Amino acid sequence: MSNKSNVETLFHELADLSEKDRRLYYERHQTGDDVRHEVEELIATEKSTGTLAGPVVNAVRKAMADLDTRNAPERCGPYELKELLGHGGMGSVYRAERVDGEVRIQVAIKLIRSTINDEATHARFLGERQILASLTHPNIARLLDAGHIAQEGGGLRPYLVMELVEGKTSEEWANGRGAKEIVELFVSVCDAVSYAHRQLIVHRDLKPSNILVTSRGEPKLLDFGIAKHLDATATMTHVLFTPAYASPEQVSGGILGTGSDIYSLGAVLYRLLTGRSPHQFQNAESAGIQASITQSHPDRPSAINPDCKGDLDSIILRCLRKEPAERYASVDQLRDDLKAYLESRPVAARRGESLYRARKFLRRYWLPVAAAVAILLSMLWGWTTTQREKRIAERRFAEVRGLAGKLLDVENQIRNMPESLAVRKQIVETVLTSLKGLSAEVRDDIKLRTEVANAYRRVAEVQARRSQSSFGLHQDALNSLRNAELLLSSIERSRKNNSEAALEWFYIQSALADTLYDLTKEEESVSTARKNAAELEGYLREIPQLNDAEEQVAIRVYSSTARSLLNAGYTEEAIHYDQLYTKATSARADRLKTPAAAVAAAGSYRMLGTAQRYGGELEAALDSLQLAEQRLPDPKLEKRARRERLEIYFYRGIILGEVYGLSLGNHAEGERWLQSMIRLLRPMIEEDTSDVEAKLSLGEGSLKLGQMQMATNPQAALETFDEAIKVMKGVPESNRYGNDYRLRMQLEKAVVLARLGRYELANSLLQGSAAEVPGFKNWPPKKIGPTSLEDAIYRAQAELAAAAGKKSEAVRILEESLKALRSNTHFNPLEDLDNANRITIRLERASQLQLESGETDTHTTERVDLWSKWKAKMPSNSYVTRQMERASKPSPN
Amino acid sequence: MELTELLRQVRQGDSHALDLLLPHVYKELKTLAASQLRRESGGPPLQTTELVHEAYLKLSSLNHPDYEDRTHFYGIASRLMRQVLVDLARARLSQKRNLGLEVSLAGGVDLAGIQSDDQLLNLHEALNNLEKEHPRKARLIEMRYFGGLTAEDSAQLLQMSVHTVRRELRFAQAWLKRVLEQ
Repeated sequence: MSNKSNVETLFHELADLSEKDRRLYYERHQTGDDVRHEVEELIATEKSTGTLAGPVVNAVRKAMADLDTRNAPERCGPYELKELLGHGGMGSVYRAERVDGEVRIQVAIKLIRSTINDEATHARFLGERQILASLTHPNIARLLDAGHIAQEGGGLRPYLVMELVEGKTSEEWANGRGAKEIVELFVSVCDAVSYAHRQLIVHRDLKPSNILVTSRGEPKLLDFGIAKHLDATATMTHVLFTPAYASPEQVSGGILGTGSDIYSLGAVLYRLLTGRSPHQFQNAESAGIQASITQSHPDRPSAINPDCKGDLDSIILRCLRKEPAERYASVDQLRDDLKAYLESRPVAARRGESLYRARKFLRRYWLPVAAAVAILLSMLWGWTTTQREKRIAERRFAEVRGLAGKLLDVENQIRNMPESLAVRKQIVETVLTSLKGLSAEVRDDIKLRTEVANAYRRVAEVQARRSQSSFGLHQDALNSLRNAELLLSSIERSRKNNSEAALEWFYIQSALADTLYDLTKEEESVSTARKNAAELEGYLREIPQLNDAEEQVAIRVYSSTARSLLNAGYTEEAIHYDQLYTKATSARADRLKTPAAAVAAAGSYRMLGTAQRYGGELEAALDSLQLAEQRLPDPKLEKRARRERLEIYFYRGIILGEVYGLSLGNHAEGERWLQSMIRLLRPMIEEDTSDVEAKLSLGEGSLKLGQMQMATNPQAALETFDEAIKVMKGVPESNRYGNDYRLRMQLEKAVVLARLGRYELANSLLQGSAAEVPGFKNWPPKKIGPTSLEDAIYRAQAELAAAAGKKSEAVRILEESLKALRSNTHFNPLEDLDNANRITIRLERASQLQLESGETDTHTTERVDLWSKWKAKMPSNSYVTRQMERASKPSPN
Repeated sequence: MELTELLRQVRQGDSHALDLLLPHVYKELKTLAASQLRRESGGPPLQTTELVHEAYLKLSSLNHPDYEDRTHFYGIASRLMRQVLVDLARARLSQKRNLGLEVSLAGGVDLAGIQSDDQLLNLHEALNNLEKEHPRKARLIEMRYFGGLTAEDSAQLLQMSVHTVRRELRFAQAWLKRVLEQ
């Protein structure tokens, strides 16, 4: 292969790969340095911003200008052309002078390129001129006169005489000015456009260069109605407009009304505020431009200029909606909203936003949803009467099945819409009714059984979804899953026979394990998960290469098994399944090379890291998180990557410095990562106030962050808690996590307040928060969980007492909590490292308080004893070693 | 009109017909370079397509120009457009250089203008070099940038697959940019 064609081939093969992949390729193929260098240069220049089109465009523009100048007449009627002011698409503009007796009048003359060849067009041109001349508004450049000159080759060349405006284009003017100032100018622009609209004149070509700003800061609009005016004269069917500011109806040849001007006003304001047009076209052909304007949605202006966040975003995007009816109904309304923004009053565009989204959704889905529900109900009505006629029944069966599936798809698409709850409930109920009917009909048909079971499982997913609080119906989900299980329990499920049913079975069992855990039936969850994973391992054994469906099942089963086991304290086993889990996801990510698969792989490494942490392998856990981060694709490419990154930061933060969990005790580093996480979360919550998941992450992160800050910077801790508590109050009440985080943070806050000397406030916050915990009614509790809210109450009580100087009382409370912990059969500090850690923190605190108040330390012995046992069990574990050293170190007092 | 006939002859490989055709086109393009251009921005395909399109309409009396003729015409026109623009740029530059003293006395040299003329000539030069190594790719670039032809048009005209046209264009663009940015 010659060098030349080699370069070309390599360029095409490698241009879309990452630098790393390219390097691997060169190494693997032992590519020569020369070729490699050339290919790399080509790839680099391709990505550079330079354009080949620029010089050509400039040359064409100049060619036009050259020819315009060459062909320019000396006079237009009574006007003497003096100086070329500029070129536009329609023609050139000259400064001209009319000598009227002694008075010299300065005007601008626009000499149009196209020629008028017939009488009718000429008459229309003159008629339109009258209308335009009637526009008198201080912010509109007046049309003074119009006429035409005879062309050499026949035909008439029209010209327009306009008020001469000296000033900058609005774009030049806006450069470097603040948002408020620009909006103030724009209010006047709206006044002018509104005035013209009342005279039934539409501009049709609003753009920054058509809006001049005089030295006194007054806007002047040029070329009003000229686009339409000239359209009348145009011999060709081309439409006159500037793509960057043209409305969707304009580029697609629709009917143009005032709504088109409103769109263009929005586009111009966008440009003035951000320096960019809403749609970017590079080298685009007409079709591409049209597609971009009619289909793609511009970035929010605030993505470029943060000053636009909130009101201006909403106002501009409302102008830029694709449907004219969805924009402002009139320029006056736009003007009023801009005024409201300037005066910090509520803006109408924002009030309309959620309704707009709801309407958009309903327009798209309401009809199919309503129709499907109605059809399903009518079919079920006739179910029993027709079941004898087998063929009809079979057809019906297929239809019902199809509709149920479709409905679930719809449900999935609309699940994040707050307004959709009622519809979604209706969907689930309808689907369940139809599934019940179908279950009775499946008989021995395994395929049908599998399908109905699958549908039940999908319904269960909907019912169990964690963050969609109003649907958190775990018991209902369990019932659905049991129904699914029942359908498949009696049939043979092997790879050879009924592999689909077999795989579905694994999915159902995993979902069961998850749901049982959500229902706090831990043991049942673990045994279900263990059995399922063992069966799967048996099923997959001796398969050299898993197919796609098998790969997916493996990922699902291993991940949920590992989670169940970890939650129940079987750390070693959980690590084992997490390793299988990472293996499966990595293989899949390497094979598919999609961002989604990469995110899944990152997630599995993060899970592995979590499990390793509970096993006391903190350094290994950090390494796993590192692997997770490396797997993560560009968050811009994949939205889920954003969430995954948050999780990675969170776990990194707590592994480094969590106060009450297993950590390396590096609070400063831990704080840093949690703060990064919270910084990423805030804009997500602001952007979408219904994002419950993001709010919960913020709650969890803030709880841990505040705990780290408490010792060194109580003021910062207070701020962290306060801000997050506010956010938690925005989580729907039925979501247990939102309440849980809020109560925990309130309890911690009480401790900070007490340490700052504000006992009364601290005490009432503690009492108020504790009263919200159900277990507080029968206080003291007989037994508590190591991470329960009751435990958090104990801790807060002890710290409040300690802060008030009642140290013996604090020690007594800690001892009481230790007793309650030990009464819990699940609490086993000799088996569970996290439990050992938690008990240690308490023992250490008790010892410290005893020494401070001059009492005998009665708790260190137990600590030494506990960690020597661990040391015997895990002699080389660094966490255990550290704790052992710490316990046996003589106390500073 | 004779254009259709001329085009047919050109397609059949009659170089004499091409000689006859070119002056027509050149003249029309030159006078048209300004007259019918309507859109202000949006990149070269829009601008040059329109120029060439209007030239074609003027030259052709056909009410329903058939696709092949039109594409073929664009293919020729793109070369001519390049020539027209380069000629004009050269003329401007030599004029400015001759007037150099005067211009600098007046205090305002149109540096930006000279620069972009230089850029066009550089592109022209680079395109000539590309032609030596990859003649077909140079032709594709010419059609695209000076004739406003879409990839589909070029594919039809040169009897290539659209996919190949896109690939070759991509490579040629990178090649040219690399030469120009060095």
